[in-house]
Amino acid sequence: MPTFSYREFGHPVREDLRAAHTETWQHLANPGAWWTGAERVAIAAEVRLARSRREDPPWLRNDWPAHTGPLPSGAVTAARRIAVDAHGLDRAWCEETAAELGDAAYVELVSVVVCTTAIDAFAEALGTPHEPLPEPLPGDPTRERPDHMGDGGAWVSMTVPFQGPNVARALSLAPGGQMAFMRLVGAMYAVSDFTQLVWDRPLSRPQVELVAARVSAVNECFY
Amino acid sequence: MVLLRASSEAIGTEANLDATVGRGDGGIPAGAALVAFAEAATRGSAELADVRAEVLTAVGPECLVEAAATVGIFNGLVRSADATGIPLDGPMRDASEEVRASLGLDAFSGAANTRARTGPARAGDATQDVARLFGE
Repeated sequence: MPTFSYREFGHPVREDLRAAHTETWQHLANPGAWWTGAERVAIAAEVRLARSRREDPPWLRNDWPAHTGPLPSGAVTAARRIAVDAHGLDRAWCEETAAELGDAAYVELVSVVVCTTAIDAFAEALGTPHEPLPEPLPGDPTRERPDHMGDGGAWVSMTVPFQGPNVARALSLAPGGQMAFMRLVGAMYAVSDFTQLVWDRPLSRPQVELVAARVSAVNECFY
Repeated sequence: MVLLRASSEAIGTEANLDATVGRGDGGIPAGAALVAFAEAATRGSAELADVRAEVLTAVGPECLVEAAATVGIFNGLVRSADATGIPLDGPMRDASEEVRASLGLDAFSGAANTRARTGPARAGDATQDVARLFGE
């Protein structure tokens, strides 16, 4: 059972944040629509491996350990690239990978990568150890594809029509992953108060947006 | 960028957006420490422990948690955007046109996913742009 105590930080971490991280780990351990629990946890492990070596120059990445777990090699490559080289991805690579894995399976993989990244990056920022990855739970993927998917201008199908920013529907081809990630977004940033420009929080809205914008720029993210 | 500018204007201040590309403190309280923290934590650089201590001194542990949460979730959000190739939303695209050009953000490879504005430039109202994203 995950704890997300963040004890080593030496100061309190708000309970709703810890609860959101715990729920995400429980979601990660379960079968999804296209990947088993064991495969989803293996994707998270690849994210950790890649993040731990994210400062390696590209020519050293060929020396990264070969994966011997349950994932197809295309999934290993995708998880690692999204974890450390997301800014260098392009439509051709995405479409090729989605054709190999299945487009909805690709988006579910992305959801696992981004949830793991958000939680691990938080722990690293606080200077606390990573939470151990969860034990995978048994069961088969549901293989359910959501309705109302279409061309929203992205490389993958998304919910159409949609009212809101594209980032809020980017993962909609994997509804479970989309919900899990947006739960994290709500706990770690904003959802209901997104349009309120003045926040009554420990950090002011401009302070939060300054951190957010710098993270985006360091990652060379145009969006 | 748009949200940084809009939220600063909402409290009667003006943010210097150069801070988002690592130049200055943005005119934001504790801005220099927060920028350094965001950068060190994202890169996983050796300076992170020292920078974290600076932020702790500058704003306290509760704010450090919020800054770390922002670092964490935005490292997820940028990957969600870049791995799915979503285009920049129209209102944000229009409102950020000048600042993107001045900061060099249009050179990021993800810019290729967003079509250029085809209509005339309009005077930006960042607060309305945020609301327009939700159809308000």
